[in-house]
Amino acid sequence: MANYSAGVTATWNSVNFGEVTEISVTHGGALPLARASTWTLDIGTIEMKCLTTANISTANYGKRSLVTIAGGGLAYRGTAVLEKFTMAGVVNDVTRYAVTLRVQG
Amino acid sequence: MPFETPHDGSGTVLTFGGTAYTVTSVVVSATDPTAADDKIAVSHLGQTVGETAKTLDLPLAGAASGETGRSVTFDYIGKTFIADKSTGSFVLTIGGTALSGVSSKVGTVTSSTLTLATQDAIRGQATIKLER
Repeated sequence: MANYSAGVTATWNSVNFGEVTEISVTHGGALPLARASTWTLDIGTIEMKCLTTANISTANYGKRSLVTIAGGGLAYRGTAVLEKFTMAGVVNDVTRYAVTLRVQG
Repeated sequence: MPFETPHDGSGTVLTFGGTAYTVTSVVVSATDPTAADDKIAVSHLGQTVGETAKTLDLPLAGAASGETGRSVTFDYIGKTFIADKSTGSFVLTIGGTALSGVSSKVGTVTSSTLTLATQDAIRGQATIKLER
């Protein structure tokens, strides 16, 4: 049965992302480099769009911490580095934020 | 046997700028020009199933459009050409009773046509924007 994308919580560095409107988790991005291992340079990427600034600041850039996503059929737990964040102000709209986390295992 | 049809448009008299027109059709429109249905959708994934979708009003107010939301479009028979931008008092009476909301209002003609055709009466149509 399909899952509603509702009741979702996403945390990183023990802080909840606020008013998340979109989450995209990609686990894996490159082939494992060793024959008997899953080790790779690109384990995956998590992209999130939010309406509030929680976790989204220059202070968090490059920080490595635990990421958890739960609810609405989304379940993920891993360690990730905050690779990129964006803030966008648009006239006659709310300010929107986005963050990209690079999975590290 | 004739019978009363209280909801028909017979006995309707349309007057604009002191001139009564031989009307064949009248359409009265009323729209709230301030009704803004634009909202910013701010629902998020943290909401639970069944919860009300969240919205915010737009931060900027809409520019005044000059629209009153009240207008009348009518077809008439006659030689009179109603010039655009002409203004006058508008009165619409139905069975002797003035239609409230649009009667005794100042109107401005926003569009007007007069059609002359072979084997037909001279017919005109005008749209009048009314003050609120």
